[in-house]
Amino acid sequence: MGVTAEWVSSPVPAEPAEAELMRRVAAGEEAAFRLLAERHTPALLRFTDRMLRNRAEAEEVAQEVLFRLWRQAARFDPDRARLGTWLHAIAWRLCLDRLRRRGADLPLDAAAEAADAAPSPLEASSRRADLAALETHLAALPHRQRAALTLFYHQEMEGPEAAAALRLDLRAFWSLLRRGRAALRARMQGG
Amino acid sequence: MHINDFAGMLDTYGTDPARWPPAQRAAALALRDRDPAARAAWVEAARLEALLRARPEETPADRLRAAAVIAASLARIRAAEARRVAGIWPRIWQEWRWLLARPVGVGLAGMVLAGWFAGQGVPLPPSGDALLDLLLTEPLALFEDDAP
Repeated sequence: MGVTAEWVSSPVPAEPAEAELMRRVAAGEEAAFRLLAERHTPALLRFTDRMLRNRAEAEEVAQEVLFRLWRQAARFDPDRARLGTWLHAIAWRLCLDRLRRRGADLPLDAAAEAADAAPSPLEASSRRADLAALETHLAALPHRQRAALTLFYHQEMEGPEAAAALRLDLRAFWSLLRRGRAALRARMQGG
Repeated sequence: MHINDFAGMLDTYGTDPARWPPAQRAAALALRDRDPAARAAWVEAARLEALLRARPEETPADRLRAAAVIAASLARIRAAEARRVAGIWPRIWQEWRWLLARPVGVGLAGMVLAGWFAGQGVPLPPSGDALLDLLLTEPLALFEDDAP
């Protein structure tokens, strides 16, 4: 794994409770695993849902992330990142693998949803329609831009954390976020 | 500051003035407050950010879904652990059985077994505690024999 200067120089340490729980998971304690899983699974599902736009696949990826949490707990270093960042980094790699296997940048199911989600004139002003439009346009963005926007806004990660999850240095992350914002704005304004 | 610079700044840093570069912040805020186009661009970008931050309220179905994912991963973990434990002895056998396939290995195994059997027939030397007992009880026994 390429460790960037930003990853090392701007660490967001894990909370002690979480580091302790990870030590217990590494020792094979199932109760500690369950506690961490309950804490992180909803956020992981939000991220994988938005990246993959396929519920079954999103659940499979979240499950794989939890399995790796168990198997690789001893490798987690709380001085380098929060557990949430570490888990999102794993989730991002797994999502990217699946998106690449699909072959096209716009997944087929997203294209189908895009057609279904086109807001009617009556709905145009509602927030729900706005959110549907947002999902449609987000799905059409390149994977990395979508991931950057999702981590920064939807998952409320700070820049260094989101950069670490995407294995990018901080400058590259800000640049990616800028391109994502611009592309999304252009798409939303274009309808 | 030109409106295009302002739009570029919104793409780069977002709509929160606290994140804008300090050197450009005052000019950007002034432009936003006096130019309707800049104001509209800022409002539109803020609306987009709010949408990006929006999270649907968690429902019981969401909680059930998360619980199902956790349960499935736990089942997978338990199965993997069971396979790991069950696989230890076959793995040891796989790794060492080559030894028995060679004359030197058979000889070595025979020597180990012979050593073990020989060890069964040899009386153990007294332990440290037994020796101490012997030394303590012996003079007393002699003393008792001399007694009238």
